Amino acid sequence: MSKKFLSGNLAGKALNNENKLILIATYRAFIHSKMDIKHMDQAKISIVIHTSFGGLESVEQFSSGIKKNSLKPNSFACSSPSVPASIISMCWGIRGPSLTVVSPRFSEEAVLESASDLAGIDTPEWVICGYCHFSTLSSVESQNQMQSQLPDFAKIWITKWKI
Amino acid sequence: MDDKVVVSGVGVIASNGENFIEFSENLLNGISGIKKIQSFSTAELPFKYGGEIENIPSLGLSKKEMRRWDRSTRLAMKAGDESMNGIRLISTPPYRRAIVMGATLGGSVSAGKYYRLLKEKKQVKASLLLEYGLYTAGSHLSAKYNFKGQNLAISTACSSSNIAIGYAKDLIKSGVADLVMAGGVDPFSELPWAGFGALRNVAPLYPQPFDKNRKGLVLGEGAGILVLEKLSHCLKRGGKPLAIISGYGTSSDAYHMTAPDITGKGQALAMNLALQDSGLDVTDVDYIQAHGTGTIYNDLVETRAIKRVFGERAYQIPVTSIKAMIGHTLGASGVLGVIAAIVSLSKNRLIPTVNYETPDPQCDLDYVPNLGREQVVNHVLVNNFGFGGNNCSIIVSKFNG
Repeated sequence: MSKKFLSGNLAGKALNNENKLILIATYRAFIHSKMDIKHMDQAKISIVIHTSFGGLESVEQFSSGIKKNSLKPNSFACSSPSVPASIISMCWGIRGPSLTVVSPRFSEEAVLESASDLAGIDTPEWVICGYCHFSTLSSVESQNQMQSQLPDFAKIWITKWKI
Repeated sequence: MDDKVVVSGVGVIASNGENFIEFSENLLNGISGIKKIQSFSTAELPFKYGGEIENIPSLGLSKKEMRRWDRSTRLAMKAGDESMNGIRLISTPPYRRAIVMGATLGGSVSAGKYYRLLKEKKQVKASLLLEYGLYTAGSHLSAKYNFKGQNLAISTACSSSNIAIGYAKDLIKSGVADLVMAGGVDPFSELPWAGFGALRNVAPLYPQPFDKNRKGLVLGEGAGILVLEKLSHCLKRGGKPLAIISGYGTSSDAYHMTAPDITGKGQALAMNLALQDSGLDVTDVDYIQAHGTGTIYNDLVETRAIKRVFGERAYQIPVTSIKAMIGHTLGASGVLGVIAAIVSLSKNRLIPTVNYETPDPQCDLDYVPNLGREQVVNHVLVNNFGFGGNNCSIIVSKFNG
């Protein structure tokens, strides 16, 4: 499903590179897990994603459009940090809670901590966990000033929550 | 004693009220904050009205701090200061105090400035980009009030602040924190204005939620922050509970980037999960604070979802949208709905949906048109839905202490 999604028009026109990275990582995680999501209760699957800024690439594109007076609605729609989690939900039909935490710290522990806190509401059976960062003109400049560099990456893993 | 999570502090700033008392009175009396935009030129835009806050209090900041802090940070600090007013924290260790804030775009004014400077190849300051981070408002609040527990920024588009409140409730219930500041903020900036304009769902004049002739949303800005804690913790430190956060539920539509699932299934799932979490029955809910943006699809789908959950009883439950008075405040809209629910619970009065003129046969519930009314209110369902199909519903209940 994801492969088709990535190769369609939507990928080319609507998704920014951060979203594409997260979709590829999720696709690989599903392949690796051998989960048959079609036969699962998709309302019992949650998504928890941590991101550094989220959507900054689309913010830049859209801001550029404002100056040139050529606004692309998709760029605005992708400018919210919550889009990667929503894209996973749309792509795999996941209807449980989807949570995006904007945080400068990346670690498995931080993501699992958020998932653990979220689990209190409606204990999911599975949680799609992950984090992502995508460099943009702005973030690279900012990192240069702070003398740190983060590579582009997306990491996704699927956790069996209810045992 | 059933140790519920209670609201013990409220802070708010919106276009029709710069504090809780002003906001409450204006909501109950149907006084709108929607007016012609002053803070930037609307000459090139097809829409010129919004829920803009005219004067953001200086908060005792220096000129340098005023320049450096993003508009969203200043709004959040204003709401945070009010929510913490009179709250004594001596008995609560700093590491047991947490902050969970929601925002759709966060410090987008600073992001816009940063990007412009970068494009013009002028000297840029990393501090501008740091003010863009959705966690920045929470960081300032944690520094000011010495909150050393978790500082989380939740982003689930326009449902961010309701999910932040629900998440805060879970932090308290699971024993991770004793006291949490939770809420949301989003300011006026060029980005959402141009963005919603590009999506062609902005009304040219006033928002008319649930009206047959509604033409779209009108943007607003604001911040709302609640102080949450367990009832026992609140009473022990001499606090006064204002309301109970009885339950919350979240779901995903898994449908479209910007449009809601037309069947209302996803929104209904969030409402049902909130009822389940609260232990209440559909017959217990006596008022609904709707998401009610005033767009054709949102209001139609929300009405369908309410009918899915409540069946025939949906026609007996009053439904209000405060967005008719303050506009769509994006990441703050959920918490402002919760604060409106607290107003109704404490006053036993329903808030009107203003600008309602023509009934829509497809939106046929009781929307409390134009005039508020008296009614005993015990449990309010607060709906909050966002782009990408992020749904969250919260049930706020009266505290009978």
